[in-house]
Amino acid sequence: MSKINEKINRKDVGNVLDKIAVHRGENRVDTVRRLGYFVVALVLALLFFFPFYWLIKVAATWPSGSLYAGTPSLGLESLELYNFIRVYYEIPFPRYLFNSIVITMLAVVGSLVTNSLAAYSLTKDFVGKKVVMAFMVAALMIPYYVTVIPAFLLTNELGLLNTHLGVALPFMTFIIGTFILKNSFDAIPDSMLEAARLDGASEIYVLFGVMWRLAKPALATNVILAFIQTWNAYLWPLVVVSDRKMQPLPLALASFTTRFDGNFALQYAFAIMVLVPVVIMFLLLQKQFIRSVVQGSVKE
Amino acid sequence: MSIQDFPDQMRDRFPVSLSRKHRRSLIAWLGLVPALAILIAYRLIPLLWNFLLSFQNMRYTGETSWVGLENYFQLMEDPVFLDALFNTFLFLGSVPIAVTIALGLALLLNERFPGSNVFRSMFFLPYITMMVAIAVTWAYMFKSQGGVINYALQQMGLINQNISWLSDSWWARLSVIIVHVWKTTGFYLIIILAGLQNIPQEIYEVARIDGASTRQRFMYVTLPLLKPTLGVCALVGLVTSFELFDLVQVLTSGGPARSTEILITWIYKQAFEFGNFGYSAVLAIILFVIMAGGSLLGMYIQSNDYV
Repeated sequence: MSKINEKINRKDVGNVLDKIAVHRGENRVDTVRRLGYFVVALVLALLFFFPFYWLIKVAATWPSGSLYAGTPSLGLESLELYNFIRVYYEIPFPRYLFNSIVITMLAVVGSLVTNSLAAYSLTKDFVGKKVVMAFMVAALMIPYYVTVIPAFLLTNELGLLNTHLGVALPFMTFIIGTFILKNSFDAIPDSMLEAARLDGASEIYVLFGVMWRLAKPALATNVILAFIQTWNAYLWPLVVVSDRKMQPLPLALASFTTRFDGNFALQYAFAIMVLVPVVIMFLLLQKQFIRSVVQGSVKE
Repeated sequence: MSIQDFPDQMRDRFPVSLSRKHRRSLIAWLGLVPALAILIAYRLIPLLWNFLLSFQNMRYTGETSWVGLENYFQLMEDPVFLDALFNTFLFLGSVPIAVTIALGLALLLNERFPGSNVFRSMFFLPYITMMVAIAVTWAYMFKSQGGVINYALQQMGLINQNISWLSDSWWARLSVIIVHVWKTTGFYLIIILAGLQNIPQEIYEVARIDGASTRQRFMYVTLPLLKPTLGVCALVGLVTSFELFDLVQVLTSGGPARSTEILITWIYKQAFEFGNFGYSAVLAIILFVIMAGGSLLGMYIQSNDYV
């Protein structure tokens, strides 16, 4: 009995060893294949990343004022901050930064409130809901930049030209954000809201006290989308702002390039100063950024 | 206040007693007011106003006079209009190019290997970067003398003479497309990756057992199942093409000789540089028809395929 067992066992062990051997081979092939993919992806990613590298390189290593340096080189020799400091002294950078921050804050906070209120309303069943939904879907197809001229005239009528609010106002609600919040609110069980109402909670408390706490990812998406589109906006501020003191960063950067035409080291330094806040935020919140942007475009 | 007195209180507040449903409607509409006000003010009213404006002549001082169809006739006398129209469509060509590149990258990154998430972020970064800054960066890279792109191409032996990227009309158009492709590819990549991960692995197993080659698996499994995702990409590409304004304005300012002008830059210039508000309203209507038509067509094609 024991001998038979031994035999069988040996056979089994042999089989297992064979399988492991096969597996090892596969693994090796797999590893090589993966390494290949890795190298290809690395090369492509570096190629894609090159403009950012070039931006840093030129801004941080080139003497300001040189229009064209002879042959471009890739290395990062002699890093210095001279260009950044000169930009700081040439223009009121803090003022532009302040404008951008105020406009973006207005848009972020404003859209959070208006989108939440609208989304909460849309979770209810009310008279005229279909009309509102149809209007919002249709409005989604009117790109704001198509109507930029009458929007400018309207802002003029409202007396909001050259104000932070005038720039921020159109960004203070966005339809996709409303829909994302609505989907998230819809997922909250009614029993929870009923319980809050029975405890005497007002509608405002139900929304901002209960639902906001339960819909944090959707709120984060709203903040990120509003932030990106307002911070980067160029056309609308260009139309509404003519006073240099009120320019947000993209406008300031564009007029800086005409003022220092040809002085690319300086332009690049300014560009970096403009990009740094967004890039830092992106690096810290990569997953949320990517998820938000995808949600913002692929709405159900 | 208990829940029982609540209706009485409401009755005191509203002389006409409201049913539960009506009360709910009232609250809902109150909540919608801020968002709808902004949407109506900045989407609906401008659209109607734009239509009105297209029949008017408007001075900088704000005086308007009725000119009938004159602004529309001006289209035929405007030599830049057709160019701008052509370029608007031409630059949309960056969407299929970017989607194709993104598809290739997505297939690559879908083979999970260490670091693929880092690569994904690297490809994605341009998408959230400010277009103005990107245009500034590329403007210098494209310089024919001392620009790094010409330098690299020469070093690789691909060209003998410097290409005048931004001062030749066709090279300038190509430059705009290159930058737009570079900026948007990472975004499509993310969407397509998500689409790829939604394809059940079993289908590939079955195809493999049936003896399908890698190419066949791609042609007959991946591509058809990815069609809705690619449709989304095309729609989003259309909607986000507004960024082209920033790009064209800063990179080429419509030049050389207005050869990279697109409808939106031409609308802006007609209104705010030449003061032809009425005529630019006509151009805006044309752009609106193109955009709305494009998105309707896209939605129609998609709904036809997948309902």
